[in-house]
Amino acid sequence: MSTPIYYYYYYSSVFSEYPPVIKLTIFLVILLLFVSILNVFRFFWVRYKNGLRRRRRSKIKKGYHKILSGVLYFSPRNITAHELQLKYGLKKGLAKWKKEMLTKLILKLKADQTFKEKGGVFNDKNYLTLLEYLGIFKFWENKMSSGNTDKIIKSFRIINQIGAGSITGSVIARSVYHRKAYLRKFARTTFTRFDLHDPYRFLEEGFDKQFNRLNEKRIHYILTELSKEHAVPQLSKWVKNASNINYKCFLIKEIGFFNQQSAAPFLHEIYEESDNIPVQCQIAETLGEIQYENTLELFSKEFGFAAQKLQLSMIKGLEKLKSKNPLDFLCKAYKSTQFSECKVRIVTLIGNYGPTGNHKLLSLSEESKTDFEKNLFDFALN
Amino acid sequence: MDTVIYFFQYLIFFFSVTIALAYFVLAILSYFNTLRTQKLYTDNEYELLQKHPEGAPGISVVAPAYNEGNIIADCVMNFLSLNYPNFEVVIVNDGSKDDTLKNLIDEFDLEEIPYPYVERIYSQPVRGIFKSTNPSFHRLTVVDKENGGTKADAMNAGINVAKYAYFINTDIDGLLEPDTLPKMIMPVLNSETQVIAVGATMRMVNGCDVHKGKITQVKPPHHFFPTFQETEYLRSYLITKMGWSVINAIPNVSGGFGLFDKAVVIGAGGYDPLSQAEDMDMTLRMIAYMRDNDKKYRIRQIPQTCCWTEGPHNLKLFYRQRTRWGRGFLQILLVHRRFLFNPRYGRLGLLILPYALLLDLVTPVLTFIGLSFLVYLLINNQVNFGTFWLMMLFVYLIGISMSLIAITADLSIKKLYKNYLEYGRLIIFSLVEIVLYQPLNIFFTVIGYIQFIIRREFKWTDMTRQGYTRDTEATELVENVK
Repeated sequence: MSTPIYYYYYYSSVFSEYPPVIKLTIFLVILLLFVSILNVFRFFWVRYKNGLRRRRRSKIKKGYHKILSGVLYFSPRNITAHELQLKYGLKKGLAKWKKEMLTKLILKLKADQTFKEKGGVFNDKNYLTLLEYLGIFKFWENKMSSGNTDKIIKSFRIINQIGAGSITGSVIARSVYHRKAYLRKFARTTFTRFDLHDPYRFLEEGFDKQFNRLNEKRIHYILTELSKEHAVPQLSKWVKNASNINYKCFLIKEIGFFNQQSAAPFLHEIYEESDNIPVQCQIAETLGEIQYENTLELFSKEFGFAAQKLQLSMIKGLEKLKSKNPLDFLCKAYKSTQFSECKVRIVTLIGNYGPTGNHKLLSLSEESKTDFEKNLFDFALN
Repeated sequence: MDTVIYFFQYLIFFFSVTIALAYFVLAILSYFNTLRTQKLYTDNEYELLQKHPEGAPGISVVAPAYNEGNIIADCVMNFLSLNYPNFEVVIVNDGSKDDTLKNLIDEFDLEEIPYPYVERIYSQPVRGIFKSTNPSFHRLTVVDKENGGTKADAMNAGINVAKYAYFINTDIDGLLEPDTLPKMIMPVLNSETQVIAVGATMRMVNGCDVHKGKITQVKPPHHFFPTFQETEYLRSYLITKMGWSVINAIPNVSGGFGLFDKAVVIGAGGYDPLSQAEDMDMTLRMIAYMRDNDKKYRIRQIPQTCCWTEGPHNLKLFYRQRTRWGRGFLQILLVHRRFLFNPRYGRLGLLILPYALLLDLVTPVLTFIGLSFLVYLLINNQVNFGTFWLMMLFVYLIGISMSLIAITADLSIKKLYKNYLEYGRLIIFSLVEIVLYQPLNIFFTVIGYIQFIIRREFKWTDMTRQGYTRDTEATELVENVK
C-alpha cells in the first residue's frame, strides 16, 4: 500500500505547478489508458475462455459420445450403476466442468432424432440411472442452493430440460420468494412442475404480482408437460380470485387450450359481470374454442354494443366454434359493424363456409357501396 | 480576439470531457445490460416459442424496395427462411423503374389478388397486392405501389397490409439471422410494461460470403469505409444504445432494423414521408404518443447481431449517407422542438433531446471549427506543443477506448468471425479512425446541416449494391438525387 501512496505524492508534487485543466486531462488520459489496456486483456481472456470451452467440449464428445448414445438408445435392457462403472468404464466424482458438459451432451443426445431413425429407442430408465450415477442431479441441486442467481437460473433451465424425476419441489422452495422477479417467477413455474405435494400452489395464489407474457409461455409449457401425466385441474377455480388482469386472461386462455368445457357457464357469468375489455375479449375467444352452446346467443346480444377489440375477439371465437352455424349472425354482424378490420374478418370467415358461405357473400356483395367493400368481396370470393 | 480564442479552447476542452464522461457512463451501463440480457434470454427461451407456436406473437417483416432487381430474390429468400412459427413477409415495391416486381413475380410465382386494403396511415396509392400460388411461399405478400419518394411512404403501405401486432422494419438488403424473430420478441414478452420498440445490433455484410441470401461465412469488410463503419456500428449499438436502454432513453431505433408495436406506430400517425430521418422521427413520435396518452412504455435494445446490411463502399456513397443523416438530424430537432426541455415528455424532453442537441448535434460543428482553428494556429505558429500532444492523446484515447470496449463486447457476446486476426483488423482500423475516417464523417455531416439550412430537396435513392452473391456483377450507379 505504501508504494501507490508514494507514487501518488510523487506525481502530485510533479504536477502541482500545472493548471487544473492539465491535471484533469492527465487524470482522464490515465483513466482511458487503463480502460483500453483492461479491454485488451479482456479480449485475450475471452479468447482463452472460448478456446478452453472448445477444447473441453471436443474432449467430452470424444470420450463420451459413443458410450452415452449406446447406453441411451441402443441398450436392449436396463443398465445398472455397477455396469456403468465396470462395463462402460464411466467414472464417478468428475470435475464440475465435466458434469456440466456431460449434462449438455446427454440433453443433446436426448433431443437428437437421428438415433431413432437408425433404429434406436430412447431408454428412460437408463437415462435416469446415468444422470444419477454421474452425480448430475446432485451437481445441479448444489447450484440451485448457491447464492448466485445466475447459477440458479441456469440450473432451472437445465432441470426443466432434464424433465421428470430430476429433483423435488423442496429444492426449489428457497427461490420462490426471491427478491429478483425473474428468478422468483422462474422458480415458481419450476416448482409447479416438480413439486409432488402442492404443485399448483402458485397458480392458486395468483402466481406473481409481476406477471408477464414470458411467464405465460413458461406456465403453458409446464401445464402441457403435466397434462401428459395427468389431467390439468379445473383452471376456472382460480379465475375469479385472480387480481392481475393479465393472469386472469391467461387462465381463461388456458381453459380453452385444455378444452375444459365444464367451465363455460362460469365464463359466461364472468363475461356478463365484467366490464374489463381484455377479460371479455379472452372469454369470447375461449367460449368459441370450448364449443359453448350459448355462444351465438351471447354474441348476438352483445355484438352491436361491443368495442372494436371485443368484436374482433367474438369473430375469432366464432372461427373456432365448429358446433354451430353462425352464418346468419355473421351477416347481421357485417351490416352492424362500422370497423373495416371487423368487416374483413367477418367476410373471410363467411367465405370459409364453402358454397353456403359464398351464397351469403354474393347476397351481401349486392349491397356493397364502396370500392373497399367491392374489393373485399372479390377477395373473399376469389 | 484573445478572449474569444481563450473561451473557445476551454469550450472545446470541457465539451470533450463531457463526451468522454458520457461515453464512460454509457459503457458501464451497457456492460451490465449486456450481461443481464445474455443471462435472461437463451436458446432455452427461444425454444419455448418453437415448441408452442400457439403462444408465439405474430410478426410481420416489412421491407420496402426501390430498384432492387438484382438482389430482391436473394433478400426475400432470406426473410422467408427465418426460424419462427408465426410470421409473414411484406415486400413493398415502391414504384421501381427496374425489374424488381417482375423478378418477384417470376421467382415466387406471384399473382395479383383482390385485396381489401385499409389505409390506416397515409401512403401513395397501392396499385396491387400479390400473393404466391406456391404454398412454399404462403408467408409472402408483395405490395406494389406508386413511388412515394421516401422509404417512410413505402413503410406506411407495408404496415397497412401487415396483419400481425408487431412488425420488423428493415431494408430490403438487410440479411437477417435465422433466429432473429425470437430474439427480438423476447424483451416484449418479458416485460410487465408495454414494449413499443426493440433494436438489435446491425453490422456490415460487405466482406461476408453470402449464398442465396444466407451468410455462409462472416468476415470483416475489405473496403475502407465499411471497415470503419463496422466498428462505428458496434460502438453505437453495443455501448450507446445498450447503455441508454437501461434508463429507457433510446433516442432512435434504427430504420435499418427494428421491431415495433404496430398499434403504437399507427396511433402516432405512421412514418413521416417528409422526414429525412424517418426512424428517429418515428421513435420520438411513438414516445410522445405514449406520454400524451399517459401510458407507460419501454424501448429495448438487445446486444445480439441480428441484421447485416451493405454499407457505402466508396466516398460518393459515404458522402450521400452522411449528408442525409446530417440533414435528418437537424430536421428532427427542428420538427420536435416542442418536446425539448418540456417536462411533460419526461426523458424525451429532459434527457434524450437535450443530449441530442447539446452533444450529438454540436459535436460535428465544434470539431469542424476546432480543426479549422487548429490549422490557423499551426500556420501562425501559436500552438503550445507541450499541451497540444496531451490534448490530442486525450481525444485519441476516447475513440480508441470506446472502440476496444465495443469490439471486446461483441466478441464476448458471440464469436462471429472465424479467427481472431479478423478482430485484430477492426482494432487496427480503430487506431487510425480518428485521422482517416472521422474528419470525413464530420465534414460530410456539417455539409448535411448546411444543405438542410439552404433547403435543398432530396428523395430517397437506390443504393448502389455490390451484390451479395459473389458471382453477381456490381450494378451501375443509378443516381436519383434531384
